[in-house]
Amino acid sequence: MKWVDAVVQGLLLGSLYAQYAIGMSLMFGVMRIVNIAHGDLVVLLALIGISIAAVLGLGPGFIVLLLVPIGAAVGWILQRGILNWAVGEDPLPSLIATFGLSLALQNFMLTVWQADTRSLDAGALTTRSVELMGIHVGVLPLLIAVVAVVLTWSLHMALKTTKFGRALRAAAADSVAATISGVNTKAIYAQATAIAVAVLGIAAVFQATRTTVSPSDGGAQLIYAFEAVIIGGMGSIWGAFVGGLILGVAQVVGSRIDPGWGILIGHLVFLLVLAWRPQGLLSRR
Amino acid sequence: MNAGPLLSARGLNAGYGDFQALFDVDFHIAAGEVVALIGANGAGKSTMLKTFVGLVPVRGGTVTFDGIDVSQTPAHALAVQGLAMVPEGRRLFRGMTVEDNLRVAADHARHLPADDRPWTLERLYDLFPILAERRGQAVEKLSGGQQQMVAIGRALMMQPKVLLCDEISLGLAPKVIGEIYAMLPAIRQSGTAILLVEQDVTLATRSSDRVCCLLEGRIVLTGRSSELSRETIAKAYFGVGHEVG
Amino acid sequence: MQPTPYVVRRHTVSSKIAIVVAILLLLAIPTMPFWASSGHIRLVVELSCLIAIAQMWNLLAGYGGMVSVGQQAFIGAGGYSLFALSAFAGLNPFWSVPLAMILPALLAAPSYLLLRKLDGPYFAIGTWVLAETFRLITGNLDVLNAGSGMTLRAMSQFSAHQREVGLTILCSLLLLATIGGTFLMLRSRLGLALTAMRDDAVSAASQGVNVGRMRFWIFVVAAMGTGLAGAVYYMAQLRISPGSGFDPYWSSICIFIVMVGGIGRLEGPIIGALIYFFATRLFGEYGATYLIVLGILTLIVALFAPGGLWSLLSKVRDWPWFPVGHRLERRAEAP
Repeated sequence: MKWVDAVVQGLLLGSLYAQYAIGMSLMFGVMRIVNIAHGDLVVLLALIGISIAAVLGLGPGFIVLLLVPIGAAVGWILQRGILNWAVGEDPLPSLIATFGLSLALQNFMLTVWQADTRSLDAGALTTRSVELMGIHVGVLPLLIAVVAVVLTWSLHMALKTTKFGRALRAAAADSVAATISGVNTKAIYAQATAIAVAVLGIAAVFQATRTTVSPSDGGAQLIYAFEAVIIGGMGSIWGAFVGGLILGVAQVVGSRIDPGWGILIGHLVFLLVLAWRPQGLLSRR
Repeated sequence: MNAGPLLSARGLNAGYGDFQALFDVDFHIAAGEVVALIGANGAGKSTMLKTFVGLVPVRGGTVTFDGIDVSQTPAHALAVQGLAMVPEGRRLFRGMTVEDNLRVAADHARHLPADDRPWTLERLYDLFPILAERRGQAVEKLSGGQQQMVAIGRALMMQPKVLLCDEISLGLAPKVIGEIYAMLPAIRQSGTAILLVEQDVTLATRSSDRVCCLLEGRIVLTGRSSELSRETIAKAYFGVGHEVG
Repeated sequence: MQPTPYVVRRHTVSSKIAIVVAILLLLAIPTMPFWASSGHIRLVVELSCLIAIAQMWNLLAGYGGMVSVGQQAFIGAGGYSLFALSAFAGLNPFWSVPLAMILPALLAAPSYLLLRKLDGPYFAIGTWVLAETFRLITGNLDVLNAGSGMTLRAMSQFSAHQREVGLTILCSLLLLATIGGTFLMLRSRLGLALTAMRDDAVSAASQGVNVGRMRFWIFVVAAMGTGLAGAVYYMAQLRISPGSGFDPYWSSICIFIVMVGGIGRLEGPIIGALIYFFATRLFGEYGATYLIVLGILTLIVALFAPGGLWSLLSKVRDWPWFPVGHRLERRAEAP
């Protein structure tokens, strides 16, 4: 029973990682850009959300509604202002550029918000739980999981069936051919990044209610997002989702074996997947 | 309906980086006309097409499309206005189905006046029946000839006024080339102007109304395909009597 | 037959001067304990370690085409090797420093084999995961004193002066090995292959360069050089902990130094290290604000001046310090 409980908790944690990962998968799959500041953006949005809540006295529900457009705006500015200069054949410029951005962003947050840890109060939601088949499952984690599934499914369907999704996939496959087919690639990239960061806005609220947030957390979140994408398979939104779940389970099960080992076991599972099936578990290659 | 040329260039200079590819090019094409662009490798034929479509920057001179100066217009905007290209090497969207490849273009097509007959998926599948069978397949699974059809279809879905074809016969078997070129009259009938870059000079003169020959970035010969002799063309193509340097 | 009017030379005036200066500096450093203050000696040691680590990062990224944000894995591995060899094998710490290159090499080989399946940017994050893995494992090993870290007690058997002499000699050897080694490698045929790989890996492969194998060796050699620098650095610190040895900030330093100084050239990391070193001395007190500026500078350089300061300077005057190229010069006219 203890292990079933660990797996369930792991799946719930993993669905938060999935929310980090689907944005990263979108950006890399489409633009071949890895944003090293991805994790720092989650932290930034979380801190903004916490501050707004403190100043305006709003609950988490309202904060989500505010953070989605704020996240979208941040993503759009990021793409148009910085990343559009780095899109191209060579992945080195965007890698180094976002690395510098990450360093600057973390220290900017340190300056503004200090090193204290903060969190968002979700009130009753944090403590309520339901019983599912003999296991106590928190309402908040369950909500995170449901939202993760909805976001993943929506993004997947959007890519497959909408005009925007087709244009994005076309730009990813061949940006020159997309341009002569009428796609404004720079605008499409900005929209994709806006969506990716808007999703991070939702994830940020969940992270802030689930645990405490501090300016230097960004690196860890980036690594979890990345591990989830690789485990699940690059180029697949559902892959990023499944990868997140697996990572979550690995971490929780690991921490039940020994409290200091949770994250390490996650890394080891990642390295194992890399050794045994490097294209990812859900990849068709 | 504008009686003048649909697409024209005046004193066009264009190039990439430090390299200049086109020198002082004058060119025009009218609605429903088929013009073939010939010349040796590196003469600038592809570059001319890419300049018209907005992929290569205009350094001097003008490009006019439908009466408007489009020298500085971004490429994606030109496509939406009706300047469509079938690029060299096809450049289909890998990982996407035949139908999705066509739909991307359709999503960004030119707005047609009410009584114009648009290119629809159905019309396209009539023109290229084999594509109807394979509409749900990923494009990388198709043969070279079929891929070329998708590439042409994709350009047609933009409802082009001018269709630019860059070496559509490249890498294809002669029978397939024949099939593809047999489609051109149907396309021109809608009033679309077609500008072809073609390596095979005989094919070029047979399929076009006019021929333009490029040498080292300059136009050295233009005339009606039916009237130009093989000798005249050969001299222009190889630059006999043309000073080097 | 007339001799051709052109001759191929490798040295230029600037490079001859630079090489002489370099050799003099390398010989001068070990003499410092006899005339310089302890404070200055510590600065020189730190600067030397920075230059060495940056050169190794440059080798990886500038020539091997592999961007790593996890070199701290090998800094920590080198440092801990030194402390462990000294504490458990009872070896003289000064002799243990070169031996500290072994563990990084052993770790680097399987690491590369695992990570090479990852695309460029993902390779980079993979190196970070590796560094984190090493940090967590080290932090969990009680034999290494877990999170509290270790002290280099063996050094107490030497006087301060003796420690400084040993440290400065190791410093010179470190610089000789990393800069000198890379320079000699670049001058050789191996260097031609490396430069070709730097410019265009696919073309290099088509010319017969075994890109995969070269990358493997570059990764391992860079890990060894980095480990050596880590050992020297932590010998000077006398203390090491998982949080410090495997600190991701090491990568931020590397990247800033090489990108701002100039990637893909030997001169770049030296200039970059000097800039970083003096900037940190002058502005380090501003803490987080200083780091914001470092981050933004890295961002700007990456987007708008990816060749760094050295490439900008080269456009004005081409005065290389390290003659790795070939030049065509007119032969002096016979009288």
